[in-house]
Amino acid sequence: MPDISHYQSTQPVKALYLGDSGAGKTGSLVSLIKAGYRVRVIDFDNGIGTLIHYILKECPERANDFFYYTATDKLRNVNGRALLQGPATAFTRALQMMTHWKVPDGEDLGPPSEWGRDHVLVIDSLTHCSHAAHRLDSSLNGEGGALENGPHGSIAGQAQTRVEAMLGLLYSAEFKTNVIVTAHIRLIEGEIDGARKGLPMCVGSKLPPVVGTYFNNAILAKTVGSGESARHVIKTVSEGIIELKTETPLDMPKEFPLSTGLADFFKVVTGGYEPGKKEEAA
Amino acid sequence: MNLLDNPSPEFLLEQTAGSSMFSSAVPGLQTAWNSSSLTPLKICPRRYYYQIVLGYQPSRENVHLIFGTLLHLGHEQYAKHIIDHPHEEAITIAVEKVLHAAGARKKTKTCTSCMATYPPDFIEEKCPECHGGLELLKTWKPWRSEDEYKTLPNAIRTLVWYFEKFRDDWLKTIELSDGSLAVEIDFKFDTGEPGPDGTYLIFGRMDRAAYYGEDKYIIDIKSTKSSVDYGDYFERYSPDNQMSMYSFAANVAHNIPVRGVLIDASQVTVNFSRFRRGMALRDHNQLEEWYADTIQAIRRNEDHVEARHWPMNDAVCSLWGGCPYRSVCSKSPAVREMYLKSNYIKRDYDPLKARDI
Repeated sequence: MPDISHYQSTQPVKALYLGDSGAGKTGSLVSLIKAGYRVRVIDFDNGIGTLIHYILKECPERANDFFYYTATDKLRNVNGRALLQGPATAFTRALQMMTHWKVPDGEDLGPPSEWGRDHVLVIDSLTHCSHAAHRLDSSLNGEGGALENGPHGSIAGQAQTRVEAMLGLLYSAEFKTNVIVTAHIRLIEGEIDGARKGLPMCVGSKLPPVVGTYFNNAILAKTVGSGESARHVIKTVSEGIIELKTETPLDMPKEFPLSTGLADFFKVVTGGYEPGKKEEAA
Repeated sequence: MNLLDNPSPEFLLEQTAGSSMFSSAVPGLQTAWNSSSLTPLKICPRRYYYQIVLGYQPSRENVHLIFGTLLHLGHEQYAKHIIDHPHEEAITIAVEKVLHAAGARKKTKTCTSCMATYPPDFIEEKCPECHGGLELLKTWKPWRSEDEYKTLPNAIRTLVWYFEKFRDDWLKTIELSDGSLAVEIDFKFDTGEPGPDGTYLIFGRMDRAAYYGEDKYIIDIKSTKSSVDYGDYFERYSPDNQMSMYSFAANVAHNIPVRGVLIDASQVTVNFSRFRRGMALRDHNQLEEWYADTIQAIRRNEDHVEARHWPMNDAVCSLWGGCPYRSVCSKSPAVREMYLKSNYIKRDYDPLKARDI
């Protein structure tokens, strides 16, 4: 039997990062960049501006080592409906980047699965990623990319499977890079007891309850209090109807300040690992 | 000795004589493989033996095959003519081609009053129905299906509704290197894997190759009476021998790097047709795995050929609606040959030669 007394996890961190819109999830990634992690973001939300603002203000020397890829579809308003302007390609382009990060006429960073522990791949957010998957199937099926029937209609089935396959790829042991997937929160009735739970907001009704199974860590960005005394924090312990978890529950503080929280969280989960101490290929 | 289940080399050579898919030197050895022969081999060697080596198929008309052929023809004609014809005209051309293919002009004695038809050697001079005069004419006899769902009118309806639904489709047919459209694309490639009689070939025909955005897919047209809601229908195509073969062949034989197969499914009922598209994606690793497993299956067939025995996989007889040869295998070996000859028909199946691939 292996001696576990000196066990220290060398596995990459895979974290589901929940939070309502405006809670500060994207901006808080700057703490990882300041800590030395090489962060690459696949941006489905078209909201990378906030993070870039923080990088340029707080760690401009790290700006050249930050990469992002915006994966959105072009939409147009047709009688109040948001329909595609052209084929839906955001989801498939993003998947290709998760397999091999290569931007036409841009950087070629190789397969994200091989980047290693000094890197963090961020999917921001699962919510809009699943919308992109849903639009793809809607468009292929002659419905113009419309998301009517909600994200819960029959056509959502294909999108759910596609998104779950993507999560499986990111969660697999062969994906040797830290992963953070952000997601908004939706209230759903639990199947067993009917009690409402706060689950990741994504397409369909079958996917939200299983998203958490693809992560060893689930944390929550939250604003506590209001007005001048409001505090922006990252929670690591379940509260209310939102269930959270971590690989190191006995060492993990219940909350961190948002401004340093992600870096602090990574430090605890990795047992104090400091990125950049060993050379790693980008 | 049961010649069917313990065939002699001479018997095997006789069964496969003239087929370009089989070796003329090694009795019973198939050297050119397509999806229609690989799939039964992977399901059950005995089924493969009856269906492909001996060429027996159920004597009932294969409605699904005929219906599917008509749909494919309609899709092919629309894809070819939409390039230089307006949408409505392309539909009209496609429907006309399907109607021509779905019937035949035959000589009949036709009543000039009520248009009732009789055999050409009908001896009466007047129509038994209305007593009108009879004339020897060539009339068009449409295919009449034994199935209530997969009929000629439903095939036409399915095609027209499909073309209307996907009128502004973002799928664009690829142009091959020779300038032709990638519709009904034949493929053939040499695996380089040596067998007892040369190397093995893989061949087939794909419905279409198309762009969606910047991505390329093989399009495969399917029709079913079942619901095509995702989860119930599309999951069966991953993994799937045919979809993997097409993805592999597109890359190897035509240098079209596809992301996989886009299954274009039509649900056909008595009163309506409904459509759904789903993807059977394949990455490089999956295709390598499929290829390795396929070569292994072909190698196992060499053992069957050498032993002149294709064993039953009796764990799958009831699956997927039941094997069409279950009634043969359920009989005692001594009577199988007689049962097979009485209840099944032999067909000349050589798509490699027929399509001149």
